[in-house]
Amino acid sequence: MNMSEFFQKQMRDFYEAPPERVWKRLEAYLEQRRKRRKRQSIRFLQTGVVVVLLLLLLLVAVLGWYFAHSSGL
Amino acid sequence: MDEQTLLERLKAEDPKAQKWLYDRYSPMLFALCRRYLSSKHDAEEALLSGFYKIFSHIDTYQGSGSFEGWMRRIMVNEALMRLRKAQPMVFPGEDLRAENTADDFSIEAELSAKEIIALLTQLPPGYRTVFNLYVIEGYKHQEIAELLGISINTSKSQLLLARAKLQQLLQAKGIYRS
Repeated sequence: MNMSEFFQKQMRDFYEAPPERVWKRLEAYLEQRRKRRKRQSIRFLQTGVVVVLLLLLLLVAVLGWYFAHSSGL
Repeated sequence: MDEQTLLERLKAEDPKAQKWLYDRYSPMLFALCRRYLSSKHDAEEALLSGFYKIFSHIDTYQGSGSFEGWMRRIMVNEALMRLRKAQPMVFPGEDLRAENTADDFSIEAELSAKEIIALLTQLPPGYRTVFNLYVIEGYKHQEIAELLGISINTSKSQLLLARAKLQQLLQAKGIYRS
C-alpha cells in the first residue's frame, strides 16, 4: 500500500461526533434566522396592506372628485 | 427519508429535517474539518458556520452532483477560510521543483484515526492543506491552485514536501518500509 492509499483507507471511515454544544449554538442561530425572516414577511405584508389602502383611498378620492365635477356639469 | 423530500423540507426550513441532516452528516464533516484545522475549537467553529451556510444556501443546490459532495465543498471552503483567518497561509519550499510526486514506498500498518489526525496536525498548514485536498478530497492540482491562489507548481511541491514529512513521521513511528 502506498502513502496515498494508506491515508485514503484510514480516512474513509473516519467519523468524529462533534460536541453537543455545536448543535445547540447552530439551533439557536437557525431559530434567530427563522424569527428574522418571519418578521421580514410580516413587515412586507404590513407594507403591502398600507400601500393597497392608500391606493384605495386615492381611488375613492379621484372618483369622488370626478363624480362631483361631472354631476355639476 | 429520500433526498427529494429532505431537500424540500430543508428549503421550507423544517427544524426536524435540519436536525436529521446534522445528525447524519456532522460526524463526517467534523472529521473533515479536523483534518484541516489543528485546533479542535476552530474545527467546531468551521462546522458550525459550514452547516449554517448549508441551511441558508440550500436553494442554491441545483441537484447537479451529489448533495454530500456539495456539502463537503462548502465545509472545505469554510475550513480554508478559517485557516487563512488564523494566519496567512505560507507555503515553505515553494520554489522546489516538484517533478516526482510518486508514492514510491509502502506502508503495511494500521493506525487509529486519532493517530492519523495527530500526524496530519504535525504538518505545516500549507503542506497539510494541499495533502488533504489532493489525497483525501481528490482535487486536481489546477483546482487546488485556484482555490488557494497559488501556482500549480507550488501545489505539487507542497504535496511532495508533505509526503516527505509524513514519511519521516511514519519512519519515526517504525511503520514505514522502503
